[in-house]
Amino acid sequence: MTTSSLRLWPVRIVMGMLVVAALLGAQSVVESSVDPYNKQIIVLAGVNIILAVSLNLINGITGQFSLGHAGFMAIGAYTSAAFSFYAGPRLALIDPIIFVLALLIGAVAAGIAGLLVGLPSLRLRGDYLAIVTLGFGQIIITIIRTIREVGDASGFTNLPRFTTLAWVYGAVILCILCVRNLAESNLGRSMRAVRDDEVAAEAAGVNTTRIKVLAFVISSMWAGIAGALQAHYLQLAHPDQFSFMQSVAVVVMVVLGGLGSITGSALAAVVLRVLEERLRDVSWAFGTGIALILLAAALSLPRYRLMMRRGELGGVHGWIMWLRWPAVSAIGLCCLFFYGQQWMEANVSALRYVIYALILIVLMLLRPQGLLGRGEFGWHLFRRRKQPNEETREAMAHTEPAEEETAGTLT
Amino acid sequence: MEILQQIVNGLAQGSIYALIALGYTMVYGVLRLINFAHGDIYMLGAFGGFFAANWLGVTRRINEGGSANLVYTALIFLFSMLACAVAGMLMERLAYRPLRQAPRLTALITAIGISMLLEYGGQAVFTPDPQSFPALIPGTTLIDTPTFTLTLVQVAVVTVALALMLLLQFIVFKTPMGRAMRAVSLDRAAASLMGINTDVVIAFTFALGSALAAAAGILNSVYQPSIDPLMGVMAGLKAFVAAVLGGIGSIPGAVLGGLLLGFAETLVSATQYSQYRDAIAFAVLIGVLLLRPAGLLGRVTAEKV
Repeated sequence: MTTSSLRLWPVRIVMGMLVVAALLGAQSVVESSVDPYNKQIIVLAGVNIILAVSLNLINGITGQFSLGHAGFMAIGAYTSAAFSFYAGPRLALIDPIIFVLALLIGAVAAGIAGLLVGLPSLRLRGDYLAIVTLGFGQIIITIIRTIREVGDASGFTNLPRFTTLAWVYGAVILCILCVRNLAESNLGRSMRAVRDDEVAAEAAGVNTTRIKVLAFVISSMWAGIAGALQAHYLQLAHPDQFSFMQSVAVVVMVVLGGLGSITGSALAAVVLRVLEERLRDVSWAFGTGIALILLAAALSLPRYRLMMRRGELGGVHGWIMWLRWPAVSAIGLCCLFFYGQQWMEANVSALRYVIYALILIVLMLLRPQGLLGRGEFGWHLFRRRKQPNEETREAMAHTEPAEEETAGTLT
Repeated sequence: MEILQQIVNGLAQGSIYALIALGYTMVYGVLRLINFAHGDIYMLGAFGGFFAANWLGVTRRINEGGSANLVYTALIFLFSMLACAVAGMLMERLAYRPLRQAPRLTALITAIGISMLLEYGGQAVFTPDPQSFPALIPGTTLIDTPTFTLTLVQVAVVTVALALMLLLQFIVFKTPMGRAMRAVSLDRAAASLMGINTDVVIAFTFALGSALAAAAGILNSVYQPSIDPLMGVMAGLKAFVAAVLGGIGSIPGAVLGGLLLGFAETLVSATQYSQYRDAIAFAVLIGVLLLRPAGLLGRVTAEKV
């Protein structure tokens, strides 16, 4: 392992340069041919990926439940914005260096906040931790609203626009690498041990508090960077951007993608970002509603097939039992679409969150481990079909049973 | 005298928090679930009262300068409490019962989902704009000195809340159903072996908690007559804090926590730091969890492996 990784360094440097070149190329393409609205969706999707992947480190890999990601994001956004707004113009440095400094400051500030919140509260378990992090997010917002230097309740405006597509996706790659490498390292094993059974992990010699605080701090640092990137793209940081709903939205991404699956979080982050923009349109809301119903029907099929095989449900009866809720909701949605389109148009913004809420509930009831479970989406999925040799079969054996088992174990 | 005024204000606000906190604490007692959607049931209660007042013509009469009939006011309370009890039972049946055996985080995330559903579904159905709640209780001032005022509304809020708490105390400690509730919260498996239908008991607990939240919703709307679909978010969170402060799972604890939180908030709003009012609850929460994680009246239980 060590020798091969030493030999890999030249390859890695070349790969890194290629990635930077690809990012810059992608950026020039996007700058020249994509309109500002879609560009914003692409950039903010990147921010969402960082948020979701970093929260996955706490919620999915370490198995703690944090509801305050938006709070750390706010700290990162506001400290970095304050730096580039107040100190930036006075420093005789070129913009990228100021931006890097701002990002670092945002990350460090959010990390320190993570440490301050994490150290005392990570001794608490499960739902209490959720509440403390939620409370922390509320306190941060309340405090920010009263600081006049950062624009109190009306938002911090006129920030320099440093963020570009290349910056965001560079950060996305670094974040995914960081979380993936961490998850596969020794520390990552300890984190998963804490998730699977905290008491057993402690008995086996894992310093659970240290592991949890570490995951918390790293995760908050990335949240801070995400906040900083967003603030320097929108040129605005507003308390409402970092509300409880934003934290919930990140949780929805992580849960939808699969707690513990990095690719799942990234995928869900992009999907939800695009949906959030497109759902302003009623026909998209309608389509998403139908898609959601189909998804629910597909997810609940295995359970009913199992019940039918066991003879608990008769043939036709079983099919009716399976399809009753999807059918009722589809009919309801169609009625709504044909008779209540005006009402829907008037309430799209609220309906957007209703769909979010439904995604959460449906997933928790039917597939609590998320769409990808703990599996990862990657090359190994395609490789297996072509050449099912021993090595890949073994690799699959590592991921697949884990996914089966997660059906009922989230903690 | 200034401090006396704050105590009266705190008592009124605190007894509303206490009523909501009771629902949190009872559900946590029997299911070990933080029912995030409880605050939104409180919102539904306020809207239930609002619509009942409209249907009964009370709103029209008040707008024409009359006052609400006591019987009608009681009817409004009853309607809203019943409607919320049904809503709470439905929520339990459709969302929480299928997850009874699932890990607690699954249930917690579902609860967040239901809470969002009620909030934004409420926005779609009731419109997001704040509505003004009819003054069911006339705004008469009973005592009026330059430094101290006591209104009829404050007295009514505290009286109704106290009556409901006494009623709850009676139900929990003097009726068979209350005994079953206590048994289930002590040990659900053993209770079910003793012939208690735990499903019924849990549904009843949800109904009881939701009815109290509905009453709190109307009382709060009478006290601060503006209602909107997101009103339950903050109130719910604060009431949850109150429940934790008193020791979650403990009924007297919820009342104590609610009152303490009400006092803390009104005291802070009276000072120059009033803009931090909404942060107080959470600061209190973090402090309590650090110093006394089981709450003021809670019991410390060892974790069994």
